[in-house]
Amino acid sequence: MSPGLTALAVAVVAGGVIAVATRDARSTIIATTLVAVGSPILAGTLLLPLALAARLVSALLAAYLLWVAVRGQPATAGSPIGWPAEALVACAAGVAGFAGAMAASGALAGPPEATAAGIALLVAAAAPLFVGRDALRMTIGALLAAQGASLIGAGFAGAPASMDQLALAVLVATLGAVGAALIVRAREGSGGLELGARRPFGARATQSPGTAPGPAGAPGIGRHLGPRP
Amino acid sequence: MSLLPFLLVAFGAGTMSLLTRQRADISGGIGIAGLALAALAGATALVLERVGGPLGWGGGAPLTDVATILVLGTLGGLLMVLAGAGSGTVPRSLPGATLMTLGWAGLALAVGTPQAALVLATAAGATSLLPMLDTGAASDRGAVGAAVVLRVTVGAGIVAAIAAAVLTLGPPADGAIPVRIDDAVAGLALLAVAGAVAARLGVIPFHRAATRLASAAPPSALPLALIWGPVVFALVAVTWLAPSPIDADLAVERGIILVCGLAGVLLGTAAALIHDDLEHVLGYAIATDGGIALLAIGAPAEPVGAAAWTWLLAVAVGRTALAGWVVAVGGRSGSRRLGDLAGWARRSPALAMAFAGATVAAIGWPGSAVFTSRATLASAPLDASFAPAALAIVLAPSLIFVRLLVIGLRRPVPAVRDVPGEARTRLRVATVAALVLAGLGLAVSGGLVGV
Repeated sequence: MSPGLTALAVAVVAGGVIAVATRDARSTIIATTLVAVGSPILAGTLLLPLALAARLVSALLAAYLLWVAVRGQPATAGSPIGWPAEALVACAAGVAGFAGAMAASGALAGPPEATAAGIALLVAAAAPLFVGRDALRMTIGALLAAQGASLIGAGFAGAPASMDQLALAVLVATLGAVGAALIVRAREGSGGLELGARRPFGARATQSPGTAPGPAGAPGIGRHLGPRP
Repeated sequence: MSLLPFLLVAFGAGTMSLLTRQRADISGGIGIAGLALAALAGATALVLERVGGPLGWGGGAPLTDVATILVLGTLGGLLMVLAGAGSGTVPRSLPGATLMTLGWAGLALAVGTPQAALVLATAAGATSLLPMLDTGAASDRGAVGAAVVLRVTVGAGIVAAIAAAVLTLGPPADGAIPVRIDDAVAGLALLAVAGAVAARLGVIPFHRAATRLASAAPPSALPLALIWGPVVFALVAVTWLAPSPIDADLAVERGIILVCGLAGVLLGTAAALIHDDLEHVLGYAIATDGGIALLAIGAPAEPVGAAAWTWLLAVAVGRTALAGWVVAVGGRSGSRRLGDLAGWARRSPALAMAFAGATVAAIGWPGSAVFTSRATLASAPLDASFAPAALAIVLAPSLIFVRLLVIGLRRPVPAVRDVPGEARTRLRVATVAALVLAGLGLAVSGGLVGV
């Protein structure tokens, strides 16, 4: 058990918990990006500079696309159970994963910290990915799940091959692009991040960047969703 | 490396088409030209490989097989774009998304590790959903359906990638400790892969996302999202994980997969016979094909790999032909409810020919590639005494085509009878595209073109 790897695993899981728990859209994106930066290092790709660079570039690209898509829409639904519960669930999953990886350490080639962090990320990502219609949360869930799966793979089979890393970089960038398209579509339809929600009668079709926040009591909701003048 | 020109064209033209999609004419022009060029590049790679012998290739599936799939995919995509344009239902990003999807699909089939292949196939599946998010082309329900399919795509990809990591677990780096995966773990991993393939192909009970999308999305975009993306994922799974690389006794797990596959075929057929709109019928028809593909995952025998490739390629092209017919016949009558399509075959002989071609391509005939591969997949996992019953089950989806034909031969309803002359002229392109797609399907089904 390496203290450095353990600290990195804890940081990655903390990033994942922040990403799924916070209501601020940009904080969510930043936290997801930090997870995407920490995961390849935890997986042991420091010796593969090209693969590491690809992972970092794809993470930044996905973050940029999402950042642009949520411009003027600062709030997401956030976690319905709150960050302490999210953190506890992720920690429990991580501890269970670590124990399992240590027990099977004879058969697993990678660090148990990677397996533990991967399982914790997968558990944290499950709810945003599979429940609800918030386009940003769904995208964040998908990105975190992809990172979690890669960490589990690294924990099982050891440091991944360059091709695996490049493929994951492709998937992260693609999910960022599709997620941005989902967000744009949701905002065009409902004015918010919720897919399929109906825009209130009389609401504007588009919202220009930087529009004022919503009425008091509804932070981050666009002005067009407020009371009609 | 001979796939490189295809990839360059696919990614280059695809990106440009997607970036310019605010200008429909420019984006469409780039996309259509890109699809044609990509088909040419793929065909060139195929010819070079066959004439000049194997080129440098260190990847997964053989280059000829990959190139064949890519050429058929680009031709199918091009024809669906034309069919959609003829019936006025083509999303702007369809050509670009088709190119990008096929580019990732080519890489997924070509790379040399199962995890990378499955991850790239997942990226291809995610990209294929972009046309569903076009403003104006798809309803809000279509966008929600695309989001649900994206969940399934990502979930299936992650599950399969983790399972692949287990099933292909190699010795540790130091080589000191021999690896022995427990049979139960290997069985769970195999079930996970089968579940992921079933979810992607929409096999019952995983059909909800696919049918939800099918009922709300533009029909011209359905083959890309519901056929080509999932088929590539299934091909990757079959290539790397069927039969399992682990030497373990997995008879129970294989039995479960077999039962699920056959049940999926029967239930999918029943659902297609019950539903009353073309999109659902198409969605459930694809689900039945997925059930048959599951048999390849569950089969322990080696020869099912080749049969599964042939079957999945025939499914992709044949169902694209059926989708082309759906676009054309739906555009003609302005409705996709079966009740409003009575007599379609009497009033449109060209569409009847396209339907006949798609039907024969789907069912095949004794001795044809699709018929033989389906029989192999149905009989390989079973004792000889059960094989005829399994063959009868996998032929059950033919009833779907019989139902559509019976409706087409009824007395024409006004919506079918009184098509305005202007609409007829506009739909000629869609009809011709459906006919060419049917011809392509027949060529693949008969084994004239294939892997």
